[in-house]
Amino acid sequence: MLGALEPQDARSLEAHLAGCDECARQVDAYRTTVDHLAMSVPLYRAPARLKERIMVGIGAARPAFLPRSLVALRWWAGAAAAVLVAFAVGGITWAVILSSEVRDLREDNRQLAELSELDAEQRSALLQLRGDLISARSQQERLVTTLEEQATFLVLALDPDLIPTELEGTQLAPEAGCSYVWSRTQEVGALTCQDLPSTSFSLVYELWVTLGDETIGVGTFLPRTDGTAQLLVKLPAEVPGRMSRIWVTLEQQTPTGETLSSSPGDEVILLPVPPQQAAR
Amino acid sequence: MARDQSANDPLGIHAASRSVDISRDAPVDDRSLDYADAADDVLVLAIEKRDAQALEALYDRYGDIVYSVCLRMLGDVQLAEDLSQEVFLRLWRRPALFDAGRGKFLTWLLSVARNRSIDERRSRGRRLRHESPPSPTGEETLAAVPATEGGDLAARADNRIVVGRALATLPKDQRLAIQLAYFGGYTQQEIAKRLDQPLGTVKTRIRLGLQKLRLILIE
Repeated sequence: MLGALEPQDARSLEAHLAGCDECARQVDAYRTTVDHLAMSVPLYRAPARLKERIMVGIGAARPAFLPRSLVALRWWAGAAAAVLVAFAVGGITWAVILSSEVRDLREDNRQLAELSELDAEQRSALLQLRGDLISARSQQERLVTTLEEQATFLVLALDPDLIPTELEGTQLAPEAGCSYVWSRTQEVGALTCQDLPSTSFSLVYELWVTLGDETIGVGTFLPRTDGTAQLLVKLPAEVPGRMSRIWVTLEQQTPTGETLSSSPGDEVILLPVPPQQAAR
Repeated sequence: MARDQSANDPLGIHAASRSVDISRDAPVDDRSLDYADAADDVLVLAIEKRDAQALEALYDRYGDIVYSVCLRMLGDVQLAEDLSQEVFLRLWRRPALFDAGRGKFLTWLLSVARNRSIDERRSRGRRLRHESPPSPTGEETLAAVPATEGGDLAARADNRIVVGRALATLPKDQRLAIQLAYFGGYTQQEIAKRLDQPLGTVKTRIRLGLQKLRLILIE
């Protein structure tokens, strides 16, 4: 059902089910329940390019771009038609231009013929190339986003009026450590962490702040594979002055993935370093 | 063994995946095929006859939910996109892998997405590959746009809400164990290790959680 049995246990179960209708019915009943779990995921709109990638991948769609020769052919075809009309009205001068365009048309036709002679393997290779280009474009977009984030961190690092807070790992993550800085001019806070334990898929780190009597979660994050993590939070200028506490907990993502946790849980991962310890 | 699938499908989720009882030998008259309204099984048969429009129709119907399952399990928009592409290309290349006699198409399709995502997680050493911090809502940092429940999605929206709420009613420990097994692809022993709990406790949590979930869904 869940696929959570060890291989040898799974084999034993399968062997038993093969000869026991009652157990097989029970398992089927739960298998249907388990199948429903996939329907509990938050529904996201797939990127539009995904459909294009799939249809290009099966050779059912022509790549969004056209070979230059085909573009030229299309353009020259229109131009040639216009010139034909002009030739009839304007006389021999246009005939020279028409002659040139017809030559270009013939050349484009020749290139088109060459393209159509590509065998299936070459066409497949071209389509594969197209898919790769789409993937590369997607990766480029992600890189730009990352670079923009890093640029923000860099700007913060150069801010002379940063307000720093050091956080240290609790017994749940004794090796972990984070620095939180807030820039009054940028109205941005930045959390950078090292040696954070990886989390299971359903858990996420969450940064909390206490403002007066109110505790709010300002952002969630996950560590990279090397245990580092970064989080940028946008806070109004007046907030840090009222901030009396800042800490990080481990929270479970809601099944529907809709909102941040309304209140911090018990699994505190990072707390501010006590002032006397920080001073040393 | 003859088993009554419908009795185990209280929400009709499997039924929501359009299906008719036809054999693979049944002819598909592509000229008259109404792709928007055709049953899933009919479209799969059309795919066997290399009908690209049939694949496109199934993608339009289930592309978002397949992508969402991959995204939920991997937490990475690029990986989710790549694996979703794989799922539909696999359907195109080997449509006969779907056996209408063993279940509904959507169930099979989502199981392919889930299994492939588990393989990917395992190949990556069970670590998520977040390049940017995701938020539970996902909109901002995952750069994914929550789909509106329009068109065909509306037919399954209620079911999704019911299942989500049913999960939410489980005690946290039971819900976490089930989610680790289903979405994380962990074995019971691995879950026990990760949660620092005895194996028997994890087995009990999963069993009780599934029992309660089943009761809720039946109601």
